[in-house]
Parts: sequence; C-alpha cells; structure tokens
Amino acid sequence: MDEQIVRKKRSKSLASAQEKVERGSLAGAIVIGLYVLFPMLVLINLSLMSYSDALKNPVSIFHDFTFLNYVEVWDKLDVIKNTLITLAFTLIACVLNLIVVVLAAYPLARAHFRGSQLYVKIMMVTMLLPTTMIATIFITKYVFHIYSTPMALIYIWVTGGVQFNIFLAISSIVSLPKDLDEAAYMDGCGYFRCIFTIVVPLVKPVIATIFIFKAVSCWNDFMSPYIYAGSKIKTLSTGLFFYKGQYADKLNLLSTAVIIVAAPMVVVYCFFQKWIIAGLTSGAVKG
Amino acid sequence: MEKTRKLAMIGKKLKTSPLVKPQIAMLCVLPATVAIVLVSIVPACVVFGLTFTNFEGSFAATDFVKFENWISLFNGTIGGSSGGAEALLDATWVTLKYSLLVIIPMQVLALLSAVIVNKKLYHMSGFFRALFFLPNILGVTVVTTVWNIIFSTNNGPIYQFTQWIGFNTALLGDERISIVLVSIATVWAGFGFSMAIYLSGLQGVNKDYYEAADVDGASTLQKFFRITLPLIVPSMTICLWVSLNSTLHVSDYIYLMTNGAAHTTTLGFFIFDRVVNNKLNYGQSSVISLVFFVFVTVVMGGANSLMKRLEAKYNG
Repeated sequence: MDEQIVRKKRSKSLASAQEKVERGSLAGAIVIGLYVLFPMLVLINLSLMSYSDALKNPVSIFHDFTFLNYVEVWDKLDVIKNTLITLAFTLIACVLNLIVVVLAAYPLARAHFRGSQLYVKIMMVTMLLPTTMIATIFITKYVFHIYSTPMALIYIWVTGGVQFNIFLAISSIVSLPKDLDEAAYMDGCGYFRCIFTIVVPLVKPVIATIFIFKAVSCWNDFMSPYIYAGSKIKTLSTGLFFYKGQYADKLNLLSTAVIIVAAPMVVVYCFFQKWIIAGLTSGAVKG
Repeated sequence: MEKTRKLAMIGKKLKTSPLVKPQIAMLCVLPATVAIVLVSIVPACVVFGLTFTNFEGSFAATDFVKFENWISLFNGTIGGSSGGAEALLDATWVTLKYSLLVIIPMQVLALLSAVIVNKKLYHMSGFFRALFFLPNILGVTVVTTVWNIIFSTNNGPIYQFTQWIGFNTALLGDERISIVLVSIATVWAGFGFSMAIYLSGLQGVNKDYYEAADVDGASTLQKFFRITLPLIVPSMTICLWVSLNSTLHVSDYIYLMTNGAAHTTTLGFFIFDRVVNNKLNYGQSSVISLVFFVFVTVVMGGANSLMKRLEAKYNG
C-alpha cells in the first residue's frame, strides 16, 4: 500500500514538474517570438502611416491608417517587372545547375569510367580553393566580356555550388541498386534516358533539396546581381536597394517597399514551409 | 540488343558495367567539369597570377611588377592612400569581433529555441518553429532594410528608447555599438537555420536516457547539461562550421547596413569595397584576397580541430 502511494506521489510530482517545464517553454517561446515579430510589427505599422505621422512618431499606434503608401511604392518600385525578372533568372539558373549536377553525379556514383573515384576526390579538394570575387570579376570582365550583362549573372548562379550539389546527389544515387540500371540497359535503354526516367524519379527528395536550396539562395542573393548583372537588370533585391538609396528618410515608404518585396517569399514559405526547412537544412547536415 | 545480351552473358565481373560505354559517361561529366574548372581552378590561378601584376583595366598598360605587391604587404604600405596595413589589421579585428558577437548569441538562442520547439507547447510547436525560421528566408536586402528602419535615428523605436534612458548615441553611426547592432540583425536572420539543425539533432536523442534520468531523480537542468548537450555535439559542429564560414566572409550585411562606416569594415567588405569601387589595382586586391583566404583557412581549421576534440571527448 505504501509503495503504491509513493509511486503515485512520485508520478504526480513528475507530472507537475513536466507541467512547469511546458509552461516555462511556452513563456520562452513567446519571448523569442516577440524578438522575431517585433521588427515585422513595427514595419507593418509604419507602412500604414502617412509621411507626416511617420515623422512625428514612427512607433505609435495612434494614427490615421492609410493604404496610399502601397499604391505609391507599387508604382515606383516596378514590383511586377522585378519579380518576373528574379523568377526567370532563378528558375533558369536552378534548372541548368540541376541538369549539370545530375548529369555528372550519375556516372560518378556508378563509376562508369576509369578514374571516377579520383575525379570525386579532386572535386572535393577544389572546394577548398579560394573563391575570390576579384578573380571572378576579372574573368567575366576581361576574358569573357560578359560583365554587367545578364549572362554574367546566369554564369555565376549556374556554376555556383556545383561541387557540393554533386556530392549530395552522388551520396543519394549510390544507395540505388546497380541491378536496376543494368536491367534497363539490357532492355535497350539509352544512357540519358536511364538517367532521367529511372534514376531521377528515385532520388526525388535529394533533387528537391538541391533545387530548394539553390532557388532560395538565388532569390535572396544581393551581391551577385548587384556586381555582375548591370544596371538594366533589377532583381527584387537590387531593386529594393536602389529604392532604399532614394527614399532612405521616408520610413513609411521604405517599410511598404520591404513588405512588398518580402511578400512573395513569405507566401511561398507559408505553403511549403516544411519542405523549405527540410531542404535548407538537410543539405547542411549531409555535408 | 543482341550485342548487349552477349556482353552480359560473358559473366566476367568487371569494375565498370560492360553495358555502358565510358565515353558517354565522360561526356556527361563534361559540363560539370567545365563549371568546376571555371569556378575553382581558374580563379585560383588567376588570383595568384594577378598578384604579380599591376593590372588596372587594360592588358596593354600592365606590367609584371613581380614581388612588389607582396613586399608592400609585408612592409605595411599596401593599399596606399585607401588604407594601409593598419586598415587591414583593423578589418581583421572587426571580422573576429563580429564573428564572436554573432556566433555565441546565435548558437545559444538557436539551441534554446530548438529545446523549446521540441516540446509540445500546447500544439503550437509547429507554429513557433515556422515563426522562428521565417527571418531566415527573407534575404539580406529585406533583413538589413528592416533593421535599418528599427535602428533609424529619425525617431526610430530603439533611438527613442536610448534617448529615454539617457544614453545618447547615433546607433548605427556610433563606433562603439554599430557592430553590435549589425550582429543583432544577423542573429535575428540566422538563428532559425541553426535551430532547425539542433532540432533534428535533438530528435535523434534516445528518450530512454531521459526516463532513466527521471528515475534517478535528475533535475531538468541536470538532464540538459549531462544528457542533451553531449549528444548534440555533432549538430554543434555543423552549426559552428556554417556560421563561422558565413561570418568570416561577410560583406553584404556590412555594405547594406552601414557601408563600412563607424568601425564596421570587415575583411570581406574591405576587399569588396576596394575592388568594386576601383580603389586598388587588381594586383594589390589579389594579394589581400589571398591573405584573407589564408586567414579564413587558419581560423576554420582551428575551430575544426576544437570541435573534433570535443566530439572525441563526448563520443569516446
């Protein structure tokens, strides 16, 4: 009898200790959540203010609410054009990068030619070499003469991260049974057909990871379009930067611009949040 | 088809499949090879070669100045009027300061968030996980503009607060705290990523350990420091590696938030600024780039061996 009472008491104290931990965790989550949300809330508030209200006190909640900022920024910022440009460049770069990576990863994973293992080792070593901006500027400017043109941006984005993505793809393809390809070849399947109709569907998770990682990093990239793409091509990032240069003191307009520029990515994130988080982090974990 | 069947029936176990011609395999690897050569091997050679010249824009007007650029590095005159060796050393110091200011709070916050989000949180853990990761996908321009507004001296929220407590400061223009403010923005944007890595590390920890600890009457803190922490050292290594790599190389956050003013010029920004604004010729910039590369390699190597020792200690 005594033992039962002791056991009940212990489990009760454990349960209440757990309750305390849960409540403490919720409190902690709210505190961190406020740190994350505070800038966003201030910005949303600012974007609904008129300029005079923003001058007086950008933080107060007691002001006339207006949507005029959104109208004005939409016109000045060329939102649709910049979004389409960014989308086009990102998609082209990601697809080309993926094709180059998958085409190379398959023969390397299957050791289809002599020296493929040596190739992989050399590839890993090249990842350690200095990747300097100055050399890339030099090459695109004075060797290929594509500096300050859209081609330079595509060049940078397609060739970036190739080694790491190949490494990811190889570690995924290697786990597929070799008999599968052999059976396909015996039935007369061509090499390219085998890659794209048999291997790729079986490694869809890693393909999605590579694509998501590359797409998010290209979409959010500022330095590459700023340095290499020239002034005629404005991605969302560089467009926002130039807008900031013009309207640095008009905080209400600036906040509206930030919200408009961030909106597409936030919307996509809301729908694909699980895939995005998994894609961005599984790449790092495997590497 | 006949031919391939005959080949397969020879029954010899070759290292490579007899059904595949090596030539077509090598053709497939060709585009990637071109990309790797163009992105890793050629730039390394170019940067090394440029250090021996004073290239400024035209091949005709360039001379081979041999070791002049290297000598100017070692006797401190590199960079001439746009910043000599003191500017370089200062930038190195700022880079290290920034890395510490970002990494330590970011890892603590990320680990704390991961532990919190790992609990059930009254069915809201998914919401909080999504919320904490959100700043990570916003991109540099959005994040820096957001925090430029928050830190604005036009009556911005933080400015009002510092005026209210009597601490007179120009925030991002104040040499003493500018780099701290930039690191706050960086932590805000980056901690979600580390949190996600710690989360997957935490979920790999066997729950039996905690039950055994409960039976022995361990407190929550004891459970955390004696069980959780040692078991997620691999995740810490990954997070440290990723954060260190990006903070040592940082140039976009600095450029977009302060343009290097008020003592926030890191090495990455230093090089970016000198190259893109044509303040140095290609030869001198290349020398600085190579020195930067050596610096990063040394720091990352040190951090790597530190983490390896930690891992050995807790996995042995």
